[in-house]
Amino acid sequence: MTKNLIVFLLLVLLSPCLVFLFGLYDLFVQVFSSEGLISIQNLFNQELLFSVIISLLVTILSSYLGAFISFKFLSKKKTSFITKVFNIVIFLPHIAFAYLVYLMFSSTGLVARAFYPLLDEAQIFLVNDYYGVGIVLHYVFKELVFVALFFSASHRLEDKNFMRNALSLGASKAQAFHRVYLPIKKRSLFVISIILFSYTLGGYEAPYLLGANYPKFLSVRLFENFQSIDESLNILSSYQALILFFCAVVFSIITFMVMERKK
Amino acid sequence: MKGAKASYFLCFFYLLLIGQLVLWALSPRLVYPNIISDELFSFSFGEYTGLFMELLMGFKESLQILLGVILVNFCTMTPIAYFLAKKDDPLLNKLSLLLYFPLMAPALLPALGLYDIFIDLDFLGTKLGIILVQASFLYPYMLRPIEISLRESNFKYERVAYDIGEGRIRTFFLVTLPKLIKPVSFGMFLTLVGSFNDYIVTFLIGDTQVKTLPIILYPLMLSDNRSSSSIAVIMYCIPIILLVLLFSRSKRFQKNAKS
Repeated sequence: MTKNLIVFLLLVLLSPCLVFLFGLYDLFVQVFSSEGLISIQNLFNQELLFSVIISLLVTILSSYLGAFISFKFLSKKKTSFITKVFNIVIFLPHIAFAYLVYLMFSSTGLVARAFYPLLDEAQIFLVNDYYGVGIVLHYVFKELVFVALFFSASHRLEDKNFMRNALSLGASKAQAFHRVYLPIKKRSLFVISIILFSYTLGGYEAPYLLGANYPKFLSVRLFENFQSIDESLNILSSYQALILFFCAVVFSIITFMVMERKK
Repeated sequence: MKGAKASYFLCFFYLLLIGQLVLWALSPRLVYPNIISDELFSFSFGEYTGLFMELLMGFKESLQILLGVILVNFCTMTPIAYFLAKKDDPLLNKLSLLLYFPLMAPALLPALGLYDIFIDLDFLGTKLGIILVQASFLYPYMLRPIEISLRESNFKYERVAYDIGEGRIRTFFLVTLPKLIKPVSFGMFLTLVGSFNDYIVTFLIGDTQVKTLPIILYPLMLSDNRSSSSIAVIMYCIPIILLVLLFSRSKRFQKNAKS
């Protein structure tokens, strides 16, 4: 038993895990060796709130819409065409997808051009806007297919039978979705929501391209502070990184516990 | 058909998103509010020779880093996956879940910490530095498929090999490794997506010395030249799209993707 554990730890320490651990260790050293003090107002500012709200919104919308699409797959099996398109979207790099969203929804994008007689260029603020609509659009469209395929991969015959029963007992499709399908998938929905929230909160590429100058997403501001020549901002960036780290730890523990209960 | 309406609508939207890229790429000057440029067919490859060359160099650098990451992760993760699958110990299985922490933590975190260490080690601005950092957060994508495949195989072929008198090393290279081709290729594909997706780590550790595709892409995307940036994005996405189409035909890919 002890021998197994030692061999396992040795193998882990000889792998890139060690580099990851070193990186985290040095981050902690930076935080705890910094001499300046960071005020709570500087750390828990409007930008942190903005990032959390955007991440929550993305999580709720993409989980709900993704679950809805997978619910549709119960009554009609997804074709290989749909699977291929969804797979392409899932594996498309975030940078590329963010640019597609930018081209579509920017003030001179395809949507603005299509509705030109109705909307003026100056009226469309879907990208690089104060409310982070562009970031939400990016993550929702990118992640909802991930949720849909995640759920449809776990469909069992029982799920289909539950739906049939609900519909034959007179439930509408909306009722079947809200009162039968979502409760069945409650645990998976919870796990995927945590993963989505954690991923969105730590995202850099899309918020950098689609976000506004103010408020900035946490990771974007963190990186800017890290690169700043102002030392107090450097220290602030280490604390911001610590927030992201603790979020990741808490979410990992919750996911682990839920997965364990599932077993 | 009725049930799949929403997904077909969504597919149409995604195809429109990707399709508009071609429209922008073929339109050197698309004046607002026109949707189709008057100069749609005046596209000439000659104008973009410099861009193509730059992208090609970027692709080469990205590929070198990717191969490095794959090599490091394959060599280090195969023994771990083999050990975990072989021992199948409840405590080890629980501990091994900690190995998947990089999936939840943003890649920026270790990179910020390693920045100072790499300055001391003179790794900043080198491909080796980027390979090490990328490998440190992309290894779960290699570990997971290999571990699942080994657990599923239950080492039955290895037992047959031992029964007929083969040694452990020969059995590993002649029996176990060939079995791992499919999970490793799936892991390689996921690593490719993760490595090609990475901008921030390459930017930070590469220190403007290493110019991968995302590093070249970002300034282009932020510029007003949409035609050039669209061409760059198309060239950036083509390998991934082709690989997805190729892999999605395989049942093993779907099985791995599910797990």
